[in-house]
This record gives sequence, structure tokens and C-alpha cells, in this order.
Amino acid sequence: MPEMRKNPAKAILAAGGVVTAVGGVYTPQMADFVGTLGVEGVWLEAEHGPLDFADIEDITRACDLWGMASIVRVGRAEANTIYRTLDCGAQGIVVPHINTREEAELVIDSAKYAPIGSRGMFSTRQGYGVGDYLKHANNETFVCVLIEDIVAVENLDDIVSVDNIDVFLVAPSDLAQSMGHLGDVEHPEVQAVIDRSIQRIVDAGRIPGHVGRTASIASYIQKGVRFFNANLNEWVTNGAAMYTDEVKKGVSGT
Amino acid sequence: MAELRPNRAKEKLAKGEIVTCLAGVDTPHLVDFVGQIGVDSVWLEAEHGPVDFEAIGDLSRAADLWGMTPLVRVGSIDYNTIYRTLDMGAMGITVPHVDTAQDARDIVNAAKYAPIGTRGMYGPRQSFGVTDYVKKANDQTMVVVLVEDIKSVNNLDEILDVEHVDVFHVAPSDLAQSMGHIGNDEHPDVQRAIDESIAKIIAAGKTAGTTVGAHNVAKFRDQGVKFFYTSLNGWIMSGGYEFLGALDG
Repeated sequence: MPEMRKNPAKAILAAGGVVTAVGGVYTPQMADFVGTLGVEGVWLEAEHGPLDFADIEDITRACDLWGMASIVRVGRAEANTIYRTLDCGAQGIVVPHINTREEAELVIDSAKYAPIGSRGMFSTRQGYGVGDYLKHANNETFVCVLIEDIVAVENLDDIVSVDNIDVFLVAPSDLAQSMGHLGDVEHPEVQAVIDRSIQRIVDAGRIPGHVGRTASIASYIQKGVRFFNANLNEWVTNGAAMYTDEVKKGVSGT
Repeated sequence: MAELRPNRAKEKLAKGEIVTCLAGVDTPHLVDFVGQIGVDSVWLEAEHGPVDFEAIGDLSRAADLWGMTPLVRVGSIDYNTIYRTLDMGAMGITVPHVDTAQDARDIVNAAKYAPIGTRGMYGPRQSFGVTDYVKKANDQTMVVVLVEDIKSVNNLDEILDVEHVDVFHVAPSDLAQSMGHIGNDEHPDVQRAIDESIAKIIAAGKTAGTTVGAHNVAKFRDQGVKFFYTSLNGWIMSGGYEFLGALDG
């Protein structure tokens, strides 16, 4: 009998470490290749992106092979969507637009088996061959909620008091939109709310998350953020820029 | 950096142990599910079945998760088909209708890098993160040839002389057809040809495989066969009949 597969994101966070889940990975082949890079997790996109339920098995198997946490951002806080995503093999979920304590509680109820919640019963992919799966599943299921509306910021004390949420990720773009600063995440008011929210999450003894951009990630780690949604497109863009610069150097002979 | 993934079937055969290989599992979901049963390898069907090149990545990843060796039966002795199958993630190939020593040499040439063969150079899936992959790959790449024509049986001595073939697999149905006994694998002439071929393979110090069900696996085990192909369909039918029988009883 195999052991229940460990969730590397949960283990690293529990040990006080920093976890990056890289988004922009859309095929099993890409996930398999990204495994060579040494990131702790892959962020799979079903709120905005093309990930269907039928895709989850193959792409999460590729993550499992490399010991990367497979984390799916679902479209909404809806019970069946959440536990079906987990049943297909995801090791964790990210849920957008969590604005109240009740919404956060619904997420936990959907993602965790009794006695914590009431996740629907099925023989899930991650349970194959695991004798006591139902006793271990809750411990290996990662849950992240997105703080991305100004109303969520107003209700933050309530939301961070909900147990069994691993990460409260402060997401800038929707937050800026909800504050009347569409497309301007650098607006001082938005940045101030982000920083204050991160600090409130830290002060509550919980783990904050944020977007992971190469230029700013070190400063956010200093602010206490330990979970990052990085973006493969940024890495590709940066790599392409390095390459193009070298071409220019070669052509100009410098 | 990752280590090159070990090939469970090849390692067990090298130790003289028996290897089971389950066919009829041509979706990733099925491969993943049967992983818990404990078979050593899966036989993915591209000679007769639905396994396209694009499917091999997902299928072989499901097998890798459980440490089962993903083997693909390719459709023909074709240089590119063989190494493209391996490049997509298969850890071994089985090749039908190998009738001559030259056929077997062509297969080894396509499946193995230099100095053994001339497998085409690429960054295969199994190489992701593995340094020196091309120097290690040959050791984990399994080659199974099917002895399934009377011509092959007649040429078996020379075929057995070809190095780097892991299993000489005697397959009954096509053999029966080639002997004029289509659909009658149990014909005494066919059974004699199978038994004699198996004995000859073992006498040459090579590994014999054959196609079995629960009804005859013990007999072939006692003959010294080490590689057993069986089909999920047989298991489903057994379980289905058992269930319906319980209902009637």
C-alpha cells in the first residue's frame, strides 16, 4: 500500500519556508518540463484559463512526478467545483473573490472531509491504493483564498479568523479595480492597502500570499509573504530579453 | 538534477525475476488506477490500438508515478517510429513480426544510442533534468521482439544471436494464423511450436515472454517464461462473470 502523497506546498509552509506556484502552465508536457526548474508548485488556471476538469488528471500527474504541488484556481466558491477539482487529482485549490467569513467557511467545508467539513465522498485519484486516505486527505489539501476586493479588505479580520486556510493571497489587479483604480495596481492607495492587508494577515498569525514578480519578490518576502503566484510568461519574457540582448551584442560586436 | 528513472521491468528481468505486463489500459486514468494492483509494466497499444504519439506523454507519466514500466507496441519496424515512441516517454518498445536477425538488428539500432545504435538525438521526456541522459538511456531502454510468424520460429536461432534484445516474446494468435490455424491457438502444432520456441530461447540464455491468462500462466512460469503479457479485458470479464454469477446464485 502506498502512502498518501505529501503536499510539498503545505510541508514547506509548515516548516516556515517560501512557496512559489508558477502559473501559465497549460499542458502536462509543460508541467513536466517545469518540474526541472525546482519550483514548489504549479498554479493551474480554471477561473480565467482553459483548464477543464478532464485536463486535471494528466496535468496533476506531471506535477506529482516532480513533487510539485498542483494547485488549481477554481472559478468560484462553489462546493461541487471545489471537491471535484480535488477528486480529479489537484493537491490544492485557490478560490477567488472571498469577501466574507461565510464564503471562506464554505470553501473549507467543500475542500475538507469530516470532521472539518463535508467534502463529497468519492474514490479520488490521489486516494488510489492509499489505505487510510480519508484520514490523511485533509492534511495534504492546500487551501488558498484570494483577498482581491476592497470589501474583503474591510472584512479581513473576520476572514483571517477562519481555520484551515493555508494562505490568504492579496491579489492586486482586482483589488485595484474594486478601489476605482482599474489597471493601476501601482496607485499609492492600492499599494498601501496591499501592504496593510499583508501586515494584518501576518499580525493574525496567518500566512499571506501575493503575486511573485522577479523585481519585487524579495521585498515581499521581507514583508512576510510566503506564498507567491509567479507567472511563466514573465520568465519567458525575461529569458527572451536576455537572449535578444545577446543577439544585439553579437551583431554590434560589443 | 534528477536521476534517470529506473526501468522496473528491465531491472527485474536482469535479476532473473518474473515481470508482469498489463495491456488494455490505453487511457492515463486506467494506467493510474491499475498502478495500485502491483503489475510491473503496462503494454500500450499502437500496433492495433488507439495510442497515438501525442498520447504517450500522459500515459507514460501515469505509469511512471507508480514505477510501472511503460512499454509501447509500435506498428512496424520503422526507425523513426521506434525512437519517436521512446522520445515521448516510453521506457521500452515491443515490436511485432520480427522474422529475421536483420529485423531485430534494425530495432536495436533505432532504440539505442551510440555505440550500440543510432537512435535519433533529441531532448526526450525521460531526459528532463537528467544530466548525461544520452550516456545512461540505453541501460534503461527495453526492447521486446515478437516471435509470431512461422518464419520467425524457423529463423529463431539467428534472431536469438542479436544482442540488446531484452525479451523474445512468443505470441500465439498470429503464429497460429501463419501456420494455417487461424483462430485456433490451442492446435497441437501451434502449441508445440510455442513450447519449442520458448525452450530454445531459454536454452540460448535469453529471456522468454508469452501471452497468458490466469488459466495458463502457471504452466508457462514452470517452463521458465519470465515476461507475461496479459489483458485487462480478461480481468474485467472474470470479475463481471463473478458478479453476475453471485447475483444468480
